[in-house]
Formats: sequence, structure tokens, C-alpha cells
Amino acid sequence: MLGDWFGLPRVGPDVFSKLMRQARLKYDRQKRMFMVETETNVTSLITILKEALNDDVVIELPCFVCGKSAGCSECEFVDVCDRTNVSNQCICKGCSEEDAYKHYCDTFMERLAAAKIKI
Amino acid sequence: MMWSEKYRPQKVKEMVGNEEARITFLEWLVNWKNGSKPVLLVGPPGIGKTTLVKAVAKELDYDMVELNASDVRTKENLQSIIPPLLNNASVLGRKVLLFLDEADGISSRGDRGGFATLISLLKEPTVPIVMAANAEVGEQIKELKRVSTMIKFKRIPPRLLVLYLDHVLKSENAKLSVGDKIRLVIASSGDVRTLLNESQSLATAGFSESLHPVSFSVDIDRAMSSFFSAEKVEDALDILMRSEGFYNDPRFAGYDSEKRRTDKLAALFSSIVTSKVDVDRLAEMLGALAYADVLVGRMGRTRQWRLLRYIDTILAYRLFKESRGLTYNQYDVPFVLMNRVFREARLIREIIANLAKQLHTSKRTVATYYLPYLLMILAKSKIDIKEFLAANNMDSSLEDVIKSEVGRIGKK
Repeated sequence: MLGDWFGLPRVGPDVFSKLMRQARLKYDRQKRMFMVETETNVTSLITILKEALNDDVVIELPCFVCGKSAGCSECEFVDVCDRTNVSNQCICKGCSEEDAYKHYCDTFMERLAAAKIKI
Repeated sequence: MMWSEKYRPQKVKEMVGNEEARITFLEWLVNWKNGSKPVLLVGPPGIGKTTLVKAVAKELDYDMVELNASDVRTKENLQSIIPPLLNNASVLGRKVLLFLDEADGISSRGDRGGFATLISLLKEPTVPIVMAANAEVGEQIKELKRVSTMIKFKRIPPRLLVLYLDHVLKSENAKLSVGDKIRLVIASSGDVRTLLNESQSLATAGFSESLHPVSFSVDIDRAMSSFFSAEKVEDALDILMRSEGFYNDPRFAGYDSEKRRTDKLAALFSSIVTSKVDVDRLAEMLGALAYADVLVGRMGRTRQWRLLRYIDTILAYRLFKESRGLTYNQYDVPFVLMNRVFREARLIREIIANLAKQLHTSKRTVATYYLPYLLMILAKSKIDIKEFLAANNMDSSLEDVIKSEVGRIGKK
């Protein structure tokens, strides 16, 4: 899931170097975990991981409001949403119910407060 | 009033999508101090870059000075606007923010010397400077990235578009079916402005242009063939309006072959130039296309995209009479010839660039005024082209193309 720390099996120095330089993935040495950031080239990341792991890579966007998975696989737009090319957070079905827009705006203000930005 | 203007978010929290990018931008502006690097917002059109800057400037109480693509951004103009602004950072005690929208649109030809001047002015900012650009690659962007901090913006995920559309519909007390909403969101391709404009059309007039591809679009190949064989101008117009083709903003030329194929102007152009028609008819048709091309470019520069819908009418009525009997040809110029045309164009551009540098003038001036006379002199005076190239520090590989151009003048 984008925005979450995730682990990978040992991939070797070449792949690791590609993940850092080409895909611009974030890496925490202590946790030994990776994270997708705004600067990450998601298309490149998928190609590298597909090659290295020899498996399909599925991207899941997080819900901006509750922080859980946005449920991309069950989304009505699953076939048309290019998750490598949209901004990194979406909204899950549960959070899209009543007053969803207000909750979304409030969450943004909470994030600003957490980042100690006053407007 | 257009919904896209009426519901343009006035506060940064009212926007949807690109949450991290918005927070990064706010962090940059809140922590801005004298000498901080300018910021470059990069992302496709219609996703809120300009809206973000306007909203944040308002919320943080900045006076925003905006220079967008419709302003003339020549060296002289930039020098008369930016340095005074940088030297008087606080006008009447108010904070000032300089916003250069469509910074990648500053042309090195049209905006004589504007880009180089901009780069030099960006190096020591005394007010926050924000730039916005659509393209992520290209020479100009590379230069801009070097002197600024880049924040990337991406398209808005469909569900967030639905969220915003629902908010607008609720405020307008308007209703659209779930199916229409989904189709509009898909057709908008993550562009909020398009989504709101089309939703307004559908909700208020029961018609949406972007729903055409879903409901009754015509493939560009079929549309062009039908355009040329239409018996009435009304039919020709109808087919142009229903074709899946579109008008590309010429400032973003360099698009892939599939996009070129669906560019209506390119499709009409390739059909016209590859048809056997007499010179007068050809001139008439190319004149109509050139006129439309200029209008498309102007609409792009002034961002009046809604006017694009009238281009179909202009083309249908101006081309109809002369284009009867033509057929649709998609770049069927023989590859050898096409290759030659592209190669020669590239080499001529190289010559022009070289001469512009030596003559301390713009490439446009060289191409328009100097080059034809230079070729004429070379043709009449029998100067050795090799010597000419060597004397002007130009590559000897340019000899063939100059000879061919000089030869053409000789024939006349």
C-alpha cells in the first residue's frame, strides 16, 4: 500500500540500487523497510519489482481519511484508475458515505496541525 | 457562471487530491526566508496547481503578482517587472508572492530572451517565487529544476473526483445519475476543471461533450473519411464534432504517434498535402488549417479551452467546398521523403541557432529575415559553402542541406 512501510525479500545489491536510484524509494536502514513517497517513480518501481520478484505487483492506495486501504480491488473505477499516475491517497467506500467531503477537509486540517503548519 | 470558477476552492483544505504535495508546498511557504529557492509545481493541467497557489496566497495574506502565459514574457518585460518586485519585497508593508504560471510555456522564440532572463532572476529571490509547469521533461524544465525545488502533482483519483462532484452537485441542488457521474469522471481523466464543466453542461443542459466518446464517438479514421465524403456542410460539421479526435495545444508538440493520429488538424493536414489538388485549392485549404492552428495556439496561451468547440465549425465551413473529392490519408508520405523532411528541418534549425548566436539576435529573426537573404547571397556570389561553414564555426555535415537550399534558390 502506498504510503505504508513494506518489506521485501532479499533482492540483491543491483535491484536495491535500482530501487533507490531509479524508483526513488525511501528506505529505513534500522527497520529494513521501504516506503513509496511523492517523488517515487511508481511505474519504474513496479517494473523493477516485477522483474526481481517474478510476480505481479498490485498497488493499493491508502484512504486519506481513515488511513486504511482504500479498497482499490473492489473500487468501481478499478479498470480505469491508473494507480501509478494518480496522487498517492484516495478515499475508501466507508469514508465516502455521509458528509464525506467535510470529513476529508477536516482530515487535511488535522494533517496540517500534525505537521505544525498554521494557516 | 461556470462551476469550475464558482467552485474553485478558496481554501487549501477545500481542494481534493495531492494531499502530500499541498502540505509540502505550505511547509515551503510558511518556512520561507530570504534566499530560499523558488518552488516549481509540476503536473498535468486541471489538477489544482494554480488554485493551490491562489488559495494559499489568500490564506497566508500574500499579495500575489501573477504572470501567466497570456502575458508577454520577453526579456524586457521580465526585467521591468521582476527586479523592482524583488527590490521592494514589501509594498506598503504587505507580503508579496510572485507566481509564474506555465513557466515551461516561456518560449525561447516567442518570448525573446525571456527564459534565460527568468533563470538568472530566480537565483537570488527576495520574495517567494512559485512557478507552475505542465511538462515534467524537456530542456526548459531541466533548467528550472536546477534553480528550484520541485513538487510533483498527479491526477486526482476517480473516487476523490466523485467526492468533489457530489459536493458541487449538493451545493447546486442538482442531480446526476450514478452512471453519468462515473462516465464523466472517467472522461475527465483526473482533470477537475473538465469534470466540473462537463457536469454543468449535463446537469443544466442535458448535454456533455466529453460523454460523446462514451455514447456516440466516431473513430478518427472513419470520421475523416466521412468528412471528405459528406454531401452537406452540416453533415461534415456533425462528423467533425462527433469524431474522437481533438485539438492539441501546439506548445506541447512532441506527442506520441497515437496522439498525433487523433489530432484533427494533423489528420486534415496529412490528407490535404498528400492529395493531388491544384495550387489554388491547396492554398485555400492550408490557409484555413493555418488559421485554425493559430486559433488553437492562442486559445492554449490564453487558456480559453472552451472556445475550442468553435474550431470544428470554422474548419467545416472553410474546408468544405475545396476539400470535396479528397480522401483521408494518415501520413502516407513515403518514409524516405518523410525522413528527409524531418532531417532537413532539424539541420536548418541547427543553422538558424548557430547564426542567431553569432548575430546576437533571436532564432525567429534569423529564420524570417536573415536566412533567405543569406541563401540568396550564397547562391549569387558562388561562395564556397565549405569555406563558409568553416569560417562560421559550423559543422561540415550541414553542407548538403545548405547546398540543397541554395540550389532551390538558383532554380527560381
